[in-house]
Amino acid sequence: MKLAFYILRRLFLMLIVMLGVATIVFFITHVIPADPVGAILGGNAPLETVDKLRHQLGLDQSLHVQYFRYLGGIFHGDFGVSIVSNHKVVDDILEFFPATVELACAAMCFTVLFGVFLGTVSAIKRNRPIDHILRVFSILGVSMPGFWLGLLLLLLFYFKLGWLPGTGRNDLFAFVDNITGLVLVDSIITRNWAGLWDAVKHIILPAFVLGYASAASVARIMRASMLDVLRQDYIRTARSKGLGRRVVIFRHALKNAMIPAVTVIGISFGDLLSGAVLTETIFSWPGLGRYIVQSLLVLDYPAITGATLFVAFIFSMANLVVDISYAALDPRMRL
Amino acid sequence: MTSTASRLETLKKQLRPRLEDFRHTVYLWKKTPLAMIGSILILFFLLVAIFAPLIAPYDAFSQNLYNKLQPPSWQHFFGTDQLGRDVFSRVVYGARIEVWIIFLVSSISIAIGLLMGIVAGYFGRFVDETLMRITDMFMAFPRLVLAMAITAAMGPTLTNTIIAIALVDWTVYARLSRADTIKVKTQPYIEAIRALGATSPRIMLSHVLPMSISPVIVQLTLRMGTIILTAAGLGFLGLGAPPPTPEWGAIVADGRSHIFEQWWISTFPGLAIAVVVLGFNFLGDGVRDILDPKIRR
Repeated sequence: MKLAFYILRRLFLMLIVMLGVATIVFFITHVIPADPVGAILGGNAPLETVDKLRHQLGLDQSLHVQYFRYLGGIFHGDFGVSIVSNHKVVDDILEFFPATVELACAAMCFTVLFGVFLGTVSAIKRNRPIDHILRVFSILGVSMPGFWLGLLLLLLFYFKLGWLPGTGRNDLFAFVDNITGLVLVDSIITRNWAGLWDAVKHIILPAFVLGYASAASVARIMRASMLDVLRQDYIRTARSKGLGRRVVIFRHALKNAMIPAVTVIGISFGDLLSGAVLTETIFSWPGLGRYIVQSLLVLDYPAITGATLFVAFIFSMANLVVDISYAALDPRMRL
Repeated sequence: MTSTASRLETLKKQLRPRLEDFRHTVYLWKKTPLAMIGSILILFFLLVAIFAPLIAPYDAFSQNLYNKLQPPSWQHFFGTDQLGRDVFSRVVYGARIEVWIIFLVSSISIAIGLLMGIVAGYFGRFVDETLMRITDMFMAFPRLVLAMAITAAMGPTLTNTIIAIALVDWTVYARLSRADTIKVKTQPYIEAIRALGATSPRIMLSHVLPMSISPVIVQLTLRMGTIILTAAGLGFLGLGAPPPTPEWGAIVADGRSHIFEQWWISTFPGLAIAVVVLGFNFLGDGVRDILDPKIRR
C-alpha cells in the first residue's frame, strides 16, 4: 500500500518535472536563439522564403501563443516536421530509437559482466597488486574520452588488423529484414546467420566503448559495497560455520553487495538508452544520439525539440524505475 | 618578550590537534599511491598551462601548408595537422583552455548550486519544494544532451560552452548544500544568532555557508575530470570552442577524418585529455579513501 502511494507520488512529481523539462526545451529552442530562421537559411535567403519558414515554424506568433501551441503539440505527441528529413519528428525518433536500444543492451552486457567481476575480485584481493591493477584499469575506463577510444579502436581493429568492420550497423550485402528494428533480433528471427554474424561484428566496438566506461563506475561501487558486506557479522558467521571462501562470497556476499551496484547499472542504462551521443557519432550508429547531434548542427529546431524531450523522458523514466525498485527492496528509501 | 613566547606557546597548543590531523592526512596521502600519482599528474598539467609559451616550440595558430600532415619527429613531437600547425604546441596551449574551462565552470556552478541549495534548505517548505523541483528538471536531461542543446542555441563559443556546462553541473552542489543546510539550521547556535537579531541573508551567508561548503569542495575535486570530458565532448562535436581554438576535444575532431593515415593528430590531444582526467580521478579516488572515516585509521 505504502509502495503504491510512493509510486503514485513519484509519477505525479515526474509529470511536473516533465512540464518543466518541456519549458526548458522551449526556452532553448524558442527564446535563446535570436534568429533561428536566419541561422537555418543563412544570411542571403530571399525575404519570401524567410517569411514562409517563419510561418511554418510558427515563429510569427507571439511567444506565449507559441508556448501553448508547443505544449498542446507535445500532449498530442506532435513535435512538428523535421526541416531536414521532412518527416514527422515522431516517425524519425521511432526509426532511430531501436538502434539505440540495441546498442544500449549490448553495452549493458559488457558493463554487468566486467563491472561485477572486476569489483568483486578487487574487493576480495583488497590492496594486493591485482586490486591495484584492476582499479587502475577501471579508473582508465572513466578517464578516457569515449570518442577518442572509439577512434583508436577503429584504427586498430578495422584499419590495421582488419578484424572488425568499420562504422554503421550492418553491411549492405548482409541485408536483414526489418521486423522489430533490432538487427540482432531480426536476424535470429529470420534465421539469417550471416546477417547476425555481421551485426555482431558491427556492434562489438561501440558496445565495448560504452560498456567500458559504465563498467568502471559499476566496478567502483561493487568494490566498495563488497568490502562493506565482507565486514558484516553474518559473513563471519558463515565463515566460522566452516563454509568455504568461495561459497560465502558467491552465495552470501555477492547478492547483498549487488544492491548498490544495481542502482548504478540502472542509471547508466537510462543514460545509454537516451542516446550515446559521442559513441554513436564515432561509429556512425544510426541511433537517437547521432540524430540529436545532426539536428543540432544544422539547427533543425522541431527535431531538436522532439528528440531532446524524448531523451529526457526516457532518462527520467529509467531513473524512476531504478528508484521504485530500490524502494521495493529497501523500505527506508520511501521518504 | 616572554608574553609573546607564551602566546606562541598557547597558539602552538591550540593548533596542535589540527596540525596532527593535517600530518595524518599527509601520511595517508603518501600511503595512497593513486592519490600521489594523481597529484603529480595535475601539478604537471598546471605547470604546462602556466608555462605554455615557454614550452611550446611553435605558435598554436600559425599555419604552414608546405609542412602539413607531417608525422611525429624531433621538429614536431606530435606531428603537424592538415593546416601545418604543430600539434604539440596546440596541445600545450590547449592546457590553458582546459584550466580556464575548469576554473570558470567550477566557480559558476558552485555559485548557482550553493545559492539554490542553501536557500532551499534554509527556508524549507514551499521554497524548498519549488527549488528542488527546478533542480530535478535540470537533472532530467542526460548531461551532455542538455549542454549540447544550450551551446547550439546560444552559438558555439568558448564562453557559451562554459555557461552550458555550468548550467548542467550545478545540480549536484545544490543537493549537497541543501542537505547540509537542513542539518545546520536546526543547531542551537543558529537560533541564538537569530535571537540576537541577525537577518536571514546574513545567517545564510556568514553562518550556514561556511558550514556547508566543505563537502561541496570535495565533490568539486571529484567532478573536475567530468568537466573536462564534457567540454572535450562538446568540442569534438563542433559544439564547443570554435576553430581555431586549441581545445583538446576540438583537435581530436580535426584529426578524425585523417585518423587512418595521420593518426597522430587525434591521438595526442586525446591522450592529453585521458592523462589529465586520469590525474583528477586518481586524486578523487584517493581523496575519497582518505576522507572516508571507515577506511581512515
